[in-house]
Amino acid sequence: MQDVGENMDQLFRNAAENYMLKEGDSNWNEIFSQLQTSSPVVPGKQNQKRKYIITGFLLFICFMAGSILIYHASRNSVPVVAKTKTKTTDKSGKSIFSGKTESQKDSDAFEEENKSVTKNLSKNFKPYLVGNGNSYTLVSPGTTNLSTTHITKTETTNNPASLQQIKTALKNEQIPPSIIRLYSLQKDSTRHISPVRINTKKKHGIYYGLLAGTGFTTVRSQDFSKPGFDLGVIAGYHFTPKLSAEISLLYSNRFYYSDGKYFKMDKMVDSMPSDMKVMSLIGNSKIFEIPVKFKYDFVQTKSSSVYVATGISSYVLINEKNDYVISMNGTAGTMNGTYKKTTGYFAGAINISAGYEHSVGKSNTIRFEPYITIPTKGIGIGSLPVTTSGIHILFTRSTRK
Amino acid sequence: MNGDQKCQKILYGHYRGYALKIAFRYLYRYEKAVYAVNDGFVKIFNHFHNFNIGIDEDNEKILMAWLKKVMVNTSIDHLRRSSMLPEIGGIPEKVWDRPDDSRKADQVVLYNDLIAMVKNLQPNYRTVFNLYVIDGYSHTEIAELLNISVGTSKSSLSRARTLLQQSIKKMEEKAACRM
Repeated sequence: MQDVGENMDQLFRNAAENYMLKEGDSNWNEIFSQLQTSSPVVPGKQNQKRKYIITGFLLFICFMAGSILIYHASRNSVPVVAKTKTKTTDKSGKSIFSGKTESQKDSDAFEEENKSVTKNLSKNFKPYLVGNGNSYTLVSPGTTNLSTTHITKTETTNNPASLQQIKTALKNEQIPPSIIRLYSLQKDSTRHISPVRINTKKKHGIYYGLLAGTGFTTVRSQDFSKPGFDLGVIAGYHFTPKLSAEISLLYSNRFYYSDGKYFKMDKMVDSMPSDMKVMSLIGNSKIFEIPVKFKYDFVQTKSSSVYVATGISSYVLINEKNDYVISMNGTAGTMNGTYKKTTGYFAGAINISAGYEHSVGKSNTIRFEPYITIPTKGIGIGSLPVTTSGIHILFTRSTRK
Repeated sequence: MNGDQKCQKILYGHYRGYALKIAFRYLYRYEKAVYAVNDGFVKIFNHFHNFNIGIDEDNEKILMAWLKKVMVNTSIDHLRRSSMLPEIGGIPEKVWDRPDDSRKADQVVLYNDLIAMVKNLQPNYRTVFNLYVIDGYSHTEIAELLNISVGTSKSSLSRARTLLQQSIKKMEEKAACRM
């Protein structure tokens, strides 16, 4: 039985080797066209592609890690003494602050009477004063010696530079610097501390700025040609400290590649031979892009924020240049086309971005914003659905200081 | 060779028939086999830098083995695209060729009929039979290539052999009737 099987296998092997099939016409032109469109996968280009992917991935990881760090930093921000305190007065006229030790009450009383000292006391790592309203004692924090220097109320209230006075007093007492150790409110369990998050820099009003960026444009997730660039201006308005609306005007130069099957011939059918077929193309478009979007800061700290933004982009195409690989009557060839007709595309894409914003000075910010634009309609002579992803760097300035 | 259009054209002209015969065993439709061959050659030319040409006489054998592997893989890719569904309609007579020498003609007709039998098998049986019996793949390699188990590969082969034996028997009976 095995021999029968073996003989049969051998018979089919011989058949596979010797059967005769008509080869038909040569398809070399078709293969040549495909070779023109699918550039050889040489190791260098593969490495370059890999490099782009790895760079993109690392940028994404950095962005996510940064977001998480900022988020945790904002949650665990340094607490300060609560500024809203209920003040009552006892029979003897002494100020009493609820939920505090006697020394703290006196210290807070001093805060009430002398704003400049209060400001300093509210900060961490500072000496503090205790007293009954007329006479105060400067305590060198961290030491057990509480009576080091006495400052009268008159002296402190009449002298606006009372901190300087304290420092001078400390010098006069010749307290060694090692004794004047810094005192941390966080570590002092005797003090009542209400954890209050640091107030974020309030954002109001209009802001404006410049942006620049780079990105890759693809048609239906095909291969990309080379990176393009964007340059533009941006203006925005803060509705709330977290929510704002933005409009930009960008000049974009985009490069893309597409297989012929995504290129619609409708707009050029009159000017082209009827039997011409676009096999592939490499294009370059110069466009004005007008994105309108809403931005929401979901993490805010004193000097930075992490945000998401989404909106729609409209385009004005001002110049398009395509290098085609075409097939006509079974012959492959190349062709160029330049189209300078200005065409508008309202709401041509959905814009999604996320980013990190950092304050530079009082009213300036710098933003790093990875983005993706998802097409809602095809643009250009071939109505190509182009997707662009990349990063924008924005420098903005607020009108309100 | 890389990018040398003339050499590519010569290579294509020389091995086109060989490649088409491989693809046609796997793909039922002649046109699909032609597409698969075109795709296969594009792959070969795009990756030709991987092929080291030396002065070794075995170069041609190595090239043919590589070409065979590429054509088999490309044909299987095309089969996957059609979800390995069986195709209806017969194989048109015009695709077969016959030698001028009448002494060999009968032999060739037999071989053509045998290949037609293989092509008439269900795509999964046909693929396993081609891979194992004709192209010399092991069951483990087939399982890996087709993403099936070794057991499935063995049972498919067994089933294919049974069906082919039945077809051969029918063919012999027809021939006996004619006589």
